[in-house]
Amino acid sequence: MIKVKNQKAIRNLADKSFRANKSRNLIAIMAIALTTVLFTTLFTMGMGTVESIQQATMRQAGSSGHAVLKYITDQEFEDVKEHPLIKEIAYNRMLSDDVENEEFLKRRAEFWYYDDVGLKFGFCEPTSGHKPVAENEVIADTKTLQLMGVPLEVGAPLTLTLNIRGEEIQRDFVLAGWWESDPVFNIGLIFASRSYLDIHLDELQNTYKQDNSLTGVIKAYIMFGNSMDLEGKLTKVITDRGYSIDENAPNYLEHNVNWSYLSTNFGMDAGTLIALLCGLLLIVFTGYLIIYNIFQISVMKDIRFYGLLKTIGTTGTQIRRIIRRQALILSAIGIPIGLIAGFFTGKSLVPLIMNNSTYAVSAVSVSPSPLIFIGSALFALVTVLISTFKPGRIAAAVSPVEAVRYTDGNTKQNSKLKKSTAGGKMPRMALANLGRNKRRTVLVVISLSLSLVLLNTVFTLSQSIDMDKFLSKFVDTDFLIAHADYFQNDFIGPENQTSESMIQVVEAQPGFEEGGRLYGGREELFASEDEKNTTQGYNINSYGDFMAAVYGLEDLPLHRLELIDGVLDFAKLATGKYIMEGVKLDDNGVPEMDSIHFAVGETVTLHNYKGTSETFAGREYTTKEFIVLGHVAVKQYSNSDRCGWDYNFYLPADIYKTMVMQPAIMSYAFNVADDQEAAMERFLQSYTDSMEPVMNYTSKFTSLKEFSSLQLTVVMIGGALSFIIGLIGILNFVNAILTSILTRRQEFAMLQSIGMTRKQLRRMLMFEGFYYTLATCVLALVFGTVFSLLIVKSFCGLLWFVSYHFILWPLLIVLPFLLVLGVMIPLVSYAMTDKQSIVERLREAE
Amino acid sequence: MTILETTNLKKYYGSGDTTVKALDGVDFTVENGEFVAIVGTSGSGKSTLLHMLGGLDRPSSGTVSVDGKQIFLLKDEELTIFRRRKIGFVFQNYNLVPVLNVYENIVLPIQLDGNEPDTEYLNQIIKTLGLESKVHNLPNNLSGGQQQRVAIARALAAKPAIILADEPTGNLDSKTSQDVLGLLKVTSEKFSQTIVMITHNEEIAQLADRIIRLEDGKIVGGEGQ
Repeated sequence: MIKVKNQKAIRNLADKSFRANKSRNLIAIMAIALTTVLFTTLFTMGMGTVESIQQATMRQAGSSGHAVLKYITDQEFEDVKEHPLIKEIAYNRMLSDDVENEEFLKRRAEFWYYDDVGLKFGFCEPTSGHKPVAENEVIADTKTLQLMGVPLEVGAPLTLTLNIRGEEIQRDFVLAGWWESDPVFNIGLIFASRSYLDIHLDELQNTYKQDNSLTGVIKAYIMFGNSMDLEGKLTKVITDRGYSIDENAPNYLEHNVNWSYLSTNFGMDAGTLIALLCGLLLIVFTGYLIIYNIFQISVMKDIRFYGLLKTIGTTGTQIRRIIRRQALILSAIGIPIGLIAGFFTGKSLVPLIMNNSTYAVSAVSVSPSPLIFIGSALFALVTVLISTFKPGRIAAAVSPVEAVRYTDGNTKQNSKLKKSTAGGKMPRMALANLGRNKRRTVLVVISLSLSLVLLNTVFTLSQSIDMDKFLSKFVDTDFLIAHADYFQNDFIGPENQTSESMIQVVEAQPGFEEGGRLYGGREELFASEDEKNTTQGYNINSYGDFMAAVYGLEDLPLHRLELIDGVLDFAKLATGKYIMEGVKLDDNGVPEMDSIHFAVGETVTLHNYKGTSETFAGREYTTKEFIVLGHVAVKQYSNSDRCGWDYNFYLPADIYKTMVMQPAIMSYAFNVADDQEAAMERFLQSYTDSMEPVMNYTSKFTSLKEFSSLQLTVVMIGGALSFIIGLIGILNFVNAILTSILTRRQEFAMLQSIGMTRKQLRRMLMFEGFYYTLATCVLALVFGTVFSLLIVKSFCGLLWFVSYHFILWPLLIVLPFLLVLGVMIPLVSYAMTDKQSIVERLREAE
Repeated sequence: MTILETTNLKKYYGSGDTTVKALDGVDFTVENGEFVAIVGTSGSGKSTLLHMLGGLDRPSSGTVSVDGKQIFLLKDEELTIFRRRKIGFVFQNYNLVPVLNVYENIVLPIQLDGNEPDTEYLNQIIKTLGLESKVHNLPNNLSGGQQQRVAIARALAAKPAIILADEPTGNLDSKTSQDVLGLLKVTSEKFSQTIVMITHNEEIAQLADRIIRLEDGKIVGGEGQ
């Protein structure tokens, strides 16, 4: 092929004909922008959620490093730090075994030296003041300072009681800086300076391997080049430097990968991937439907122009280039608009997702990652190019002679004959008009139906979220009060038990009906003999028995136990010879029967450490036998300590109390008269805010609130997407109607000249629009039903809190609006084009 | 009986110096059953005149009476209805509705009026125009001559007071033109239909009963009667 310098001519042609198509350009830009909005929203939502979850887990883990080497010495640190795989490494050295100030009884604090990298990885760079420099300077988080009563000002004095290898040493420091405590990280941190470390080097020798003392040990957080195969890289770093990953080897280095990075796998599991892929395909398809239609129509309109170009010697390739260039110009305008709008849409939706995840307390972070924009822009561009490919080919393939006769409608007539005689009736004629370009009609109808089906799906999902299922998982009685730690899955025993004072106050409230305490806790842990269990390799005590959670229930919770098999005989239980074994439920509320350890009637031997000694070893190991009377459901959120033990047993409170030294009230469940529920809710709210802030509660009310916010999330996100897709559908419809009216102006003039009144013409157009929407209704109803029954139903089966309900009302509600729109749009479009006189329009053709 | 009468018909476009006098005082009458040809070069105003006669456009001044009715006293919608009852059009480019078959195109003006077509009369027209085998065809499967015959049939179908033909053979070759014109003349005689045809072709004009010559918006020859 001869290379010719024709770029300029082609560009000129493309730009000129681009400018001549103002209304098409406007609609095309809107379509491209909306498509990009969809892509960007999807990407932002996806990335934002993963990012927020990762951030939250990192903060819980206390570091953003990929991996950590624990309890190592200076020598070991020096050995590994230059390894080529390591991008950054933090030097964090523990300066005491513990901080013994009594302010830290409830919330532990640790005394460290962190280097700059460590501060960065640990999210604890001081936000006020400066990093510690002098030997007596420290920085700390605000909550720690608050507990100590230290004012937030540089230079404020504070005293730490340090436990160094069992020895208590008091040292005075001054405050150099501080940062805001992270609510998800529940340990206080105090950092000293490098000079402190250097001066006290003697007492900081690492003796961890000899006496498990933490003073002076180094935790080295490592950042690799990327987060792929962290386990492998960590192993390589350790073994390359002559250390071992074998726990029993003398040169073993304790290590682990940061679990927040393990959870990045969350972002890439099969389900998420498929969902993402489906989302992308749906958007590409939506975009294709409209952009293809716009270009198809525009090419048809200009087909004579392309024929003319062909006649004077433009090649097909050049014509295709003209069309591609126009598509690119439109993309250059539409895509950036869409990127910006989409990012903000996505960003505003991420908190909704996060609120319903287990990371609700965490701050939401969505950074405008270039990946989002590049990805969305790329996808949008690909969609545009795919969509313009076929129209470009049509324009390129047009024969110069035919182009002159090529008008909308007589493109390809498959049927030569049409056996009817009543075609002149308006409804019939309108129908025939839609058949002129079947492909366009079908695309518009699909485009409109798509959003309707999506809308219906969204509402089906949100309506199928089963309130009873949801509530029964989280609440058993109207209210449950307990120490705040309990709700953080951190109930231990007497130290954070439910306060008797709060129980008294609650019982005195109006409307209080009945309540009961639940006892438990791991402070006085139980153990169960079980010779049959040979597979479980953890939670075994030194006697070879399995750790077990035993709960003592007062009447209300005891009577509310859900029996699975056996009998629930309260009189027998009260004798102290019988026990109920708890069985865990899966997400769908089905008992996991294979987790049962003892059959009904079998004898179970329970031990516990009875005594007051600090260590378990110093206590008496008691033994007591029970006969398993039956199995009951362990309800994670109402009758367990939320830790998920392998062995669970339930006893009446009176029996339980005889078995432990210090019975700890895990929680208190109670019911309230229906008309007093709201008042009780308000009371508990203010009581836990002001009177006993360490106590907390859950209720049907709070669960209901969570329930409706879950529902809202589904509706908001799905609604936003179906709104945009709906907008695209309507845009497509407007474009199709508008161009069909414009291209038929001359035909309308002719019809008017042979006696069609304006009223009749309007009626015909109304029917055309009506048929579009009618077809959309039928398609949406049929497809919506099929989709709902086949796909949504099986999807609902995957989610425990959803029980599928077939609904069509969202569709039925929208349909009348669509019908009105379908009739109005042609009328408005016609009114806009009906400005020229018949004669002018007739002449146009000549 | 006079079926069509114009008095001092004027149509000016623009104003002041740039005024174009498309029609500048045209007076003529057409008798019932007559076949009149209006000839003139391009720009002589003949198309404008035809549009005025058909009520497609309104004149600057003057009147047009069809079947004794002054058409410009009617409102737009009334005029349209009047048109489909009293006037049949035959256009140069046929102007058939592409989505309707031949039969539907022919009866369209009748159906627009909400009437049932007179089947016997229609069959007669279709037969005369030789379209029997084509009634179920769609327009774009017909040749130009066939399409124009359909257009003539459509114009005749509603039994209008007058048929206005605008260069009916303009897009046809000479052989086909002869055929179509022959049919036009035959049908006009057979159904005693008044026809006003505009053309720039003298030869074709010769087929008419009477020729009116138009130049610069004025009648310059022929018998204005």
